[in-house]
Amino acid sequence: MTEFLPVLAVFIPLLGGVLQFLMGPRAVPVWPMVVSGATTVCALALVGSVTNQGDIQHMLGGWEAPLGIPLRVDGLAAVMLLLNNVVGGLVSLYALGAHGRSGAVNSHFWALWLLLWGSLNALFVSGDLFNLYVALELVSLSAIPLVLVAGPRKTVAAALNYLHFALFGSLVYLAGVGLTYAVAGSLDLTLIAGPLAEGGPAGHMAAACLIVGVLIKAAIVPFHIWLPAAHGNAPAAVSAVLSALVVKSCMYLLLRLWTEPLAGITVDAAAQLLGIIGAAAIGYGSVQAFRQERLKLVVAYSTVAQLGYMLLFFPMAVATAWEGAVYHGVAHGVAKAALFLAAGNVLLYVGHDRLRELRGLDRPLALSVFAFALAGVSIMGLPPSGGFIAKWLLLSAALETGQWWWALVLIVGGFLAAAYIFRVLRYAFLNAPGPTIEIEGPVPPRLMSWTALLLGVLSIVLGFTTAPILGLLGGLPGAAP
Amino acid sequence: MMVFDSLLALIIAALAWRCVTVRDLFQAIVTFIVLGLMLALSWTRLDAPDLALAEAGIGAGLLGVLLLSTWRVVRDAGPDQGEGPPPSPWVRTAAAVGSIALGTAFAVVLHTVEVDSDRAGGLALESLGEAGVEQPVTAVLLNFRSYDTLLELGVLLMALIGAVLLRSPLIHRPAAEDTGTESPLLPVLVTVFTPLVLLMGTFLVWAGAHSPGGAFQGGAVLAGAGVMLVLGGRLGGDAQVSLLLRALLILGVSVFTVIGLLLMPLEGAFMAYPEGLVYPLMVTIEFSLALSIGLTLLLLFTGTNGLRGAPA
Repeated sequence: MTEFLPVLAVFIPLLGGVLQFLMGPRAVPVWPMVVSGATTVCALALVGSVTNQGDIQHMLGGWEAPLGIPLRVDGLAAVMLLLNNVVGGLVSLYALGAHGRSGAVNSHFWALWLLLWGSLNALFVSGDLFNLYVALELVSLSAIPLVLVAGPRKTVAAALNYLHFALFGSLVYLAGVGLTYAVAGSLDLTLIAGPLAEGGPAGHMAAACLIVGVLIKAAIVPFHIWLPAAHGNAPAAVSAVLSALVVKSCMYLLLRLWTEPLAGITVDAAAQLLGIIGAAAIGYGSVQAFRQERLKLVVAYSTVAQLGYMLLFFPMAVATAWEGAVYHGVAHGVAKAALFLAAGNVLLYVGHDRLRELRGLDRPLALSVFAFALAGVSIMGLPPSGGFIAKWLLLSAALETGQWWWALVLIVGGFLAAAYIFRVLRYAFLNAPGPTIEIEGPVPPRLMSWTALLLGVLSIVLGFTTAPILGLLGGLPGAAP
Repeated sequence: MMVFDSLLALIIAALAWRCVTVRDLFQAIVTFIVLGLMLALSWTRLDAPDLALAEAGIGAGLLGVLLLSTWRVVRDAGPDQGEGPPPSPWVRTAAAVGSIALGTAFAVVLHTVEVDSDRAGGLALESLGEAGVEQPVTAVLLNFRSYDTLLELGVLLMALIGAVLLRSPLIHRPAAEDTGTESPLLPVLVTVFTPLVLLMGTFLVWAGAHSPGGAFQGGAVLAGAGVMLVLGGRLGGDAQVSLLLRALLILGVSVFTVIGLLLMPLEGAFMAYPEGLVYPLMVTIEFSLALSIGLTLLLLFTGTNGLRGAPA
């Protein structure tokens, strides 16, 4: 039974989304909630059985690699599935409040969101280079129309820009896949490492294409320019998913490729370059986040910055850095979802998210502002929170490898994050310079406030759950235990 | 053949150059369609008839129709909307230099690759006996790597929902002078050719088991028949989508998934088919896929939620 779980984790939401399209508005909200619940339960069962029994493999169609496509769930995939399905389930609950009423657009929202959920699960369980390309495409092409749910007039430019970058990234990645097959004669992740390492210039070119393609899709500086508009204008639930999970899935792919199929071919200069790009992302994203005038754009630029931390793994490449980078992915995913959901509640209540006109927000929206602050603690990397643990691990790795300059980046990045988070909180509380808000929109339903708060609390709780999650993750692949 | 191949390569390069540099949008689109046909020819020369069929049907045919109908919307929207400011010389130079550098790098690098026989492709040819079909491309698409094909079908559905969400600017309304009702030739052409095109599409789907063809190529041809009916005024877009149409749109992906899931406990693996049933199952899957693909492509062309028969 356990070997069927990866298939079910992919096809419960995918088929659920397809059937939502068939049944249309009448099925909202019962059907999507049933599918969301079943997906979360199934994925958590999968994570549980990986915890207990170790890696799970399922050969699709009964064909052995390299002929068929394997689904593999190892520690890294299980951690990402845990993040994806816990955040996904909570976002579904939030969306029950925001998109729970019957209507054509809401029906399309649920169909696309369930398809996106299944696509993300498909990406995490895939063990085949070309199948990963298909999964990446599915993730992008379900994420982009979701941006349009906020209304095409407002979002079409952002969505088109997103589409162009996503397609360009896919093409570059696909070129890498083609070259890899030419060199290695196989697409199975476990079979291509050796041939690629001996592949000479073609192997290097393939590796470069794969990495650059993923970097474009992950919105790493300087390919980030589509991200703020798309994440900042989408509906709150969509922004949360895009920032917490979609770009994170590309970072997961980068870690997976670098440590397994490309392990024998990566050079130190490339690793240092990725580290420098990460540092640049942290600096640029944080400064931009501090300069924004709209709440959701602050949070979106914060994503540009926070993705940079995961890149700091590459120049250090020790077990501590590995744990730190993955833990950062998890902690940021949970915290960022909380930030976007809280920002969505603000937008719903005030009708806009211009920072200077949010004075006195702490009274009517106490829960959401509290959720924002809790998640902010994790983003800043203050103890006790998931973000603190991740940054602590990365800091230890920097000192362990004697590369003190990355420690400097981590500390400066933390201060910059504190600056933009406290700026938002200052505007939200009474002693802000602007006028007190007078327009009072609909108070967000309790479900929407509490899911945001729950995610905020989770981002703190992650400070205490290091042992089980890192135990599930396991050590750096290829390193001596 | 050497002369022919060099000529083909030169024509492709020249068409690509013209497609990018020509100022007039309409000419660019027409050049692009011709480029697609030339690419299809080059796939034939590379002994890849399946790719040639797909390129001609989807790359040149259907994509061309979509581009032309977009062009008409842009033209009707007025000169302000159609002509954006041309990209700055910097962007254009960077794009040109980047493309040339990447292309050259690929050409150089691919020459260093030594192809040996111990590859997944060779293994697929050896295992063809167990795949249930004689055509290697179909065996890979619907059996060895059927999971990829199934996921790709999700892309079509997503694109369709995205188009519906965006719909308003893209609705295709054949204006009175476009439907050609005044031309005595058009109704005859539509009447004569539509059954033939439908027959050809069906044949392509069925032929996929033993010769070049398959669900994607056949589906594209079926969509072409639909496009003819729309242009001839026999079929029109509708703002409402009926349950039947929605069921047909998801038929392919549902049949594919449900067969895989139902047989999973029996066969021990997702999308593994019992011996003896492989061929009928694959034909069933292929026809349902072709139907869904054709309808999805047709709806992307009409830009509407649904379809309805036009009053005669």
